[in-house]
Amino acid sequence: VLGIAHEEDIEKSIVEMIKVLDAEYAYRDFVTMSELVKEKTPRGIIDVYLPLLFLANRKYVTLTQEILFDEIFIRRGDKLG
Amino acid sequence: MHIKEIELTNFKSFGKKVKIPFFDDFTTISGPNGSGKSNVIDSVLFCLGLSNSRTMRAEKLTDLIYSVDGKGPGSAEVTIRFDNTDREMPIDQDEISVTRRIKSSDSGYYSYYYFNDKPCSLSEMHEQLGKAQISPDGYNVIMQGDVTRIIETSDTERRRIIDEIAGTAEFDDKTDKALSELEVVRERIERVNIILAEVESRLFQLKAERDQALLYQSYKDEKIKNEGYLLLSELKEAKKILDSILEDIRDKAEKRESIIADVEVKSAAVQKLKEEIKSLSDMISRKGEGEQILIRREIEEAKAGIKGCNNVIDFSRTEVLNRETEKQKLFLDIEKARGQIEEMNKRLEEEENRKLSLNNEYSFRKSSLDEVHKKISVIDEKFKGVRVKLSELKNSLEGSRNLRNEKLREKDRILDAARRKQDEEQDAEAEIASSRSRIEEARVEAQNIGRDIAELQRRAQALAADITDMEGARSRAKQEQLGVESQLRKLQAEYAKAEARVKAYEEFDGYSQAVEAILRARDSHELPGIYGIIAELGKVDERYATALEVAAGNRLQNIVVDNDEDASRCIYYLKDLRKGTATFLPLNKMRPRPPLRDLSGERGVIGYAIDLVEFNPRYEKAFYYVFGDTLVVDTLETARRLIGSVRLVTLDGDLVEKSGAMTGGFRAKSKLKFKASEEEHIKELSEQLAVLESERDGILKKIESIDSHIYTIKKDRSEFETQATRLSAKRDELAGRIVRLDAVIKEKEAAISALRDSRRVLRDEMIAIEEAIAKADVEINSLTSDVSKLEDELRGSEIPKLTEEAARIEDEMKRLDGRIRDTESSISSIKLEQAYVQSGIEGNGKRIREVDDNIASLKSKIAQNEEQITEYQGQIEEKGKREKEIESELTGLKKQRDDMSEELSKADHELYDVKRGMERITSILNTLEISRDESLEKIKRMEEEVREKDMVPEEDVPPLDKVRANISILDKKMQALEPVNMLAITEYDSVNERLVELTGKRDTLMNERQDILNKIEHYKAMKKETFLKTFHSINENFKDIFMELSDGFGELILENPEDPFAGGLTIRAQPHGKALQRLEAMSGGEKSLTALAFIFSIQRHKPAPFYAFDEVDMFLDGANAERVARMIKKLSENAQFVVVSLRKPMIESANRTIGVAMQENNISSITGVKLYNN
Repeated sequence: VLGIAHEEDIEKSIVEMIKVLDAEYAYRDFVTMSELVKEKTPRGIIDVYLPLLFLANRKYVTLTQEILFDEIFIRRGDKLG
Repeated sequence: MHIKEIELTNFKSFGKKVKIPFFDDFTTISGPNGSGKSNVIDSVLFCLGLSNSRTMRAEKLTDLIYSVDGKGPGSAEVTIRFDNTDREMPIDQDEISVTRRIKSSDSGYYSYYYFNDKPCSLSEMHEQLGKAQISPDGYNVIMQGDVTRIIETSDTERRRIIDEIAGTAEFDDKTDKALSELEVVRERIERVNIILAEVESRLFQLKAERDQALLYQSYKDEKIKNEGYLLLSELKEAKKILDSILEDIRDKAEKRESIIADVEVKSAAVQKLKEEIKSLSDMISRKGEGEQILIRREIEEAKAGIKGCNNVIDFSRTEVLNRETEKQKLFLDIEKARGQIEEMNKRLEEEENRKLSLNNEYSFRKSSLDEVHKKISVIDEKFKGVRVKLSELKNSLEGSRNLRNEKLREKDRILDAARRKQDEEQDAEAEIASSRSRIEEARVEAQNIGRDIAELQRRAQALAADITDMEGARSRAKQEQLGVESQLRKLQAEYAKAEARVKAYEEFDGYSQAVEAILRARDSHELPGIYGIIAELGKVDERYATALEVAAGNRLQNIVVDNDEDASRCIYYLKDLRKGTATFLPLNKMRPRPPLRDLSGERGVIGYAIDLVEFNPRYEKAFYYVFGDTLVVDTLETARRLIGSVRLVTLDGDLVEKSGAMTGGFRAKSKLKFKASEEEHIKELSEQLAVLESERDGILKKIESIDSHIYTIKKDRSEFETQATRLSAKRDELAGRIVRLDAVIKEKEAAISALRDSRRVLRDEMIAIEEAIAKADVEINSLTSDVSKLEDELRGSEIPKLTEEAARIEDEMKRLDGRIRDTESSISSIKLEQAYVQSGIEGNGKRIREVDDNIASLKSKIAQNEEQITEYQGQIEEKGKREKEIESELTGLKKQRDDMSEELSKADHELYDVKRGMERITSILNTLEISRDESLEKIKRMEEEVREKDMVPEEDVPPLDKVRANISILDKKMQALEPVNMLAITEYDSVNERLVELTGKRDTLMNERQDILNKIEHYKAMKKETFLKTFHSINENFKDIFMELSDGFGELILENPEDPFAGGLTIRAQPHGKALQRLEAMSGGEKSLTALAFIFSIQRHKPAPFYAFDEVDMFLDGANAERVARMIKKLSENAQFVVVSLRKPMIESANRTIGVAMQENNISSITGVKLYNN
């Protein structure tokens, strides 16, 4: 039961993340990760990072990072055309 | 030590080359399902080759290569770089790298490992990693599957996890080895036991034989002693006989003396007569045989002389004629020779004239030469000395140069020779050295081989003895087998017969209808009181069956009943059913058996029929009724003898009634039969058969086992023997090699000394030559300068022209001289020829004179011979007259001689008689002497024998008859013992020795066995101890960790703490606020938590530098996931943790997280975020 709740939890944050990104992409091509993180705690970072990984996997966005653990650029994926 | 970086190339979803950095803390790897996050953990398993104990998520290794629609680069590679600054890996490098690459090929794939960029094998790499506590059976890398495995596996499998960690397999291996050793020892003991049994039985057998032999020996000794007594008495007897012979000899010798005197007298008389006759005979032969024969011979000689003279005359006359012809021929030759001499004289004269003219010419030349010479000498006077000297100098210069060149050539030759010799010497020395070392090697090897051979032979011999014993045991067992089998066959035959008889009885339906009906009624309990028919109730021996059946006749089917009432009931029954009649024997009314006469003493009587049947005594009356006093006898003859006294029946079944009626003949199978004791007998037989069969099987098994032992021993022995043969061939070869090498050394040493000698000679020669060359050089120099000086001096004189003139004249003179010499030689040759012819003439003249003399002598010889003939004729006439005179004188003398001869023959007879007497007495004496010698010899021999028997010749002999009696008693005793195996005494000792040896061997083997058993016991204890140590340590860890994770109580439980390996391992836990429960009863999340606790316990027991977990938190609820995350965070202070997880509590606890997403072309891409900056 808890596992399912957990999954739902992720899906909910993905949907929210899509809303945020769509708003951003309306006026620009990419967003940086640090812009999206509101709260610089591990929880705050993960809440942003995990949905982004799911969206990248679904080709909704493309994540690029020049240097590992450095800034992550979030561009529109194939799904958005 | 920790993982610094993982580099993936074409590994699974990582289609591009990716480097993932790691730090010595807590890193999570996260991403959506299917993004390839677990492939990072797989790459660690793959690269470090840990996959043999964990299942990687791939069907086969080639699936690990990145590919799209079956197309791919064909190879994959993973490199893990470890930070080794803490030197946990004992290699002096800060970074250690491990790489694994696989390449697919048509036939499969190739896999390569590299340790620090050097190719290596998997086990080599594991060895290195093991030093840093990373091992394939460790719990470094935990997959989701491992967690479920711990939960779902059987208790026993779970216990095996501890086994593996504790390393108990080592003791199992050792135990297995010890067990196989034990098996070998067991087999050896069995073998020795078989041999021991054999030797013991032989010893037992031999003991009896030996005792017998010893007894026999003592009898024999006593007999010898008694025989000695006999010998002693014989000796005494022999001495007595000798005395009497000696006396006889003395007597006969005296008699012989007197006869000899008589012989002498008689011989003298005969001698005298003989002499007289001889003188008379001499006269006769002088007169007659002497003179008469002489005259006759002379006449014959004269006649022969005449014949000889005539021959001489004839011969001489022909010879005279021959000589005269020869004379004529000689005269002719002389004439011819004189002509030749004339001719030669003419030729001589011519030659002399030529010679004279040549001489004149020569003198002329000579005078002109003298003139030239005079001129030269005038000029020459002053140069003379110089020229002579010059020519001398030139000669000696030429000589010196030649000598020098010669020496130089010689020097080269010697140098070359010396070099060659030196090379040869070095070669020879090298060869000697190598030969020596090879000899030493061969010696050592030969010694070793010798020892080996001796050892092998000793072992082969020991085995041979074993084989003998084994074969003895086998033949004994075989004997036993044969015995048992023959017994078995006999029993089987008997069984078959008995069975046939039973069958015959069963098939028999000869009982009357009535009897059958009664028996049926009895069996159905319709009628009471019926015991049965006689045939059923009696048991008989097969031997007497026929006789007894005949004796009983129809009464066999009489029915025995309890009383007359029962009988009458039966009779009514039969009446009712109209089944015919039967005879009933009610026991209460039957007459009892009276005493019967004892006939057992009679010949041929076997006994009363009733006594030969076995039955319950209560039926005795009934049986007496059936058989009465019928007597069973062996044959009809016996029966006839006894007719009238009783009823008789023979074994063949012939019956003789008391009345004398005799029934008999050929009897087919009797109709009525005793059921006899067959059934019981069969049971007995089959029991015996079973016993025998099992006995036989036992023996067969024993034989089989002995055979297999024999086979192995023989194989071993032949193995030893072939080895020994091979070794001795090798040893022979080595000995031959040594001899050859020795010869080589000797040869080379001789060669060296020869070479040294010749080199010394060469050196001496060399020195001499060098000196000679130096000397020659000096000489040449001085001579050359001298010559050139002289040559300068001579240049410009007249001499050469004159000298040429002189030479020309000299040549001319030389030619003339030659011609003079030719002429002279021609003259002398003519003279020589002339002299030869002249000597021929003289020879012929001399020969003519000789022939003349010859003729004259021949003629005188003829005349002489004619005279001689006349003389012979006169002699012949004279001798004829004398011959007649002598003949008349002889007749008287011969008559006188005949008379005397008769007298002599009479005397001779007398002498002969006397001599015969003497011969007789002499021969008697000889015989006596021979007897004496024999007697002496016999006594000597006997005395010797007596000595040999250790008896004193003077010993008193017991009475002879007693001695003889003793001997014959002893002989009988000995005979009773025979045959005696005297060898048994020594054989017993040797077998006894072998028994002792074998017993020792068995004791050794038993000790060995005990040692192995102790060892096994020890291993078992060690195994348990090792296991328990590990178990307790892990269990303590588990209790702590479980408490920490769940606030509850949990522990590991051994199903069988006394013998842990006989039972499994289970986990009992009491999570906080719940009842104590076993693993099986827990919820999924609790199970996961418990399993993780178990894994952490193991890790704490056997720490590793890094850990990789793959989604182990998947089934945990939120609270537990958090607890686990906290624990890992705490643990990561001491070790590196890489955890694949999608759970927020876990990700949050990590220092950083690496995100995996599949963004393009199914290639996993990597991003990462730091969560705690420090």
